[in-house]
Amino acid sequence: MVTSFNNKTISAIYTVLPTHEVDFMDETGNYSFTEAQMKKLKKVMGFGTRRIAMEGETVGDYAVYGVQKMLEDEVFKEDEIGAIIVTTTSPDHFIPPISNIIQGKFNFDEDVVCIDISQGCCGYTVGLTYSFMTLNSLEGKKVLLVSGDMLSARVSTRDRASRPITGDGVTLSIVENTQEENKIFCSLKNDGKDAFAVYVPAGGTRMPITPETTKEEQDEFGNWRGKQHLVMQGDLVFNIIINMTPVMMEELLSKSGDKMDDVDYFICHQSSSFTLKKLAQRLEVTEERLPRDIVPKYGNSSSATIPVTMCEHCGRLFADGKKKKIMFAAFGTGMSLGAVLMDLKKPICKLIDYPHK
Amino acid sequence: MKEQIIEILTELRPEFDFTEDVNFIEEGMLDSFDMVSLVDEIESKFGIAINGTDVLPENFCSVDAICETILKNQK
Repeated sequence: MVTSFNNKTISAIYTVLPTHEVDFMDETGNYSFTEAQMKKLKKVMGFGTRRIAMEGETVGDYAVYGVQKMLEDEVFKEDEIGAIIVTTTSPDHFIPPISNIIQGKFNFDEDVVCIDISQGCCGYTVGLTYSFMTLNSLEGKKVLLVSGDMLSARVSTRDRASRPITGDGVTLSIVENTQEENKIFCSLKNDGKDAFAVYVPAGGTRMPITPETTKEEQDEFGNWRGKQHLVMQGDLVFNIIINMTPVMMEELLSKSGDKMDDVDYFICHQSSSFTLKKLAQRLEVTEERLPRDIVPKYGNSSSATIPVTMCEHCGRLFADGKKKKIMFAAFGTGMSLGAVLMDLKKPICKLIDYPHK
Repeated sequence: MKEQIIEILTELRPEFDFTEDVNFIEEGMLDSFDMVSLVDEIESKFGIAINGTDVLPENFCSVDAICETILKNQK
């Protein structure tokens, strides 16, 4: 279903990344690839360097650090925030929610709305849509949207399908009402029949983690995983992305009355270089309009990758100082797909390193 | 074209004989990573772009299937 909103914008985006970096080419011993295969996959899949959080670091830690930096930079004042929305599949704890942890660390009002949404790769588009909905009831207030994941702790170091792309990162966006005319169109789609295409078997109520569940077993492709590790059916996910994303985008464009050529940039979830190359070919758009260079540099940080892309490319995207029509699109865990079409002025963008202890 | 395809396949997985009339995917001769590497090699050797919707196991499971996929994407 397409929903539309009036006069809202994203005024700032901060990205907080670990400084700790790992390189796919240094992990030869982890995977059942030959050196020639690794070189090939580095080029085709974008397996490069990734930013990985240190053990024990959480989405909440990075978000609190990001809020501190935003406050120091006077991006917003604490009493301007009416809601804190967090999208992640990496909760700090089962209880309490990360949004409440963030609220408690600062002088936010006690009537601030706190919402944690369990969403992975699609998290930013879901979070934006919920932010716009919330803003309809928050006159004069802003939404602090936190989107991020720490999935490297959930992916086996010997999983050649998922480990070489998985990175960690947390982003913070300020979403607010604006006096300027700005019609926004959003679409969220779900296909729960394929909910287990991306799956962590143990660690919830269904299968608590025990010494038995942590024993790593080898699958038919040479991956070693415990039940606490993420399992992804990459081919199924790829096919859903390639088939469904263009349909969802067309749906938004038909509602907005725009054409593909009217969209300045397609800022998509950075799943893998190969997937994004195929998506760009299918949409007939250039890499300049659909960037796909985040996975080889930082890794796929799930719900964070769209704002990471914005921070990485902000200067180039808004080089002429004009508003741009941007299609945000994301796909993944759930299976969920989401897209947001909006005009955007250059937000305040900053990419900062997390100071590991 | 068939010879070129066998050459690419053998370069990817030299331990297998791709002249055999078997299903490369079902026999475990090619996995999903081999398939994306194959797509990349074919695209650069034949100067084509294979549509993402054609990146399916059934389109890369034999030399004949790969030929058909190339021809379809040359149009």
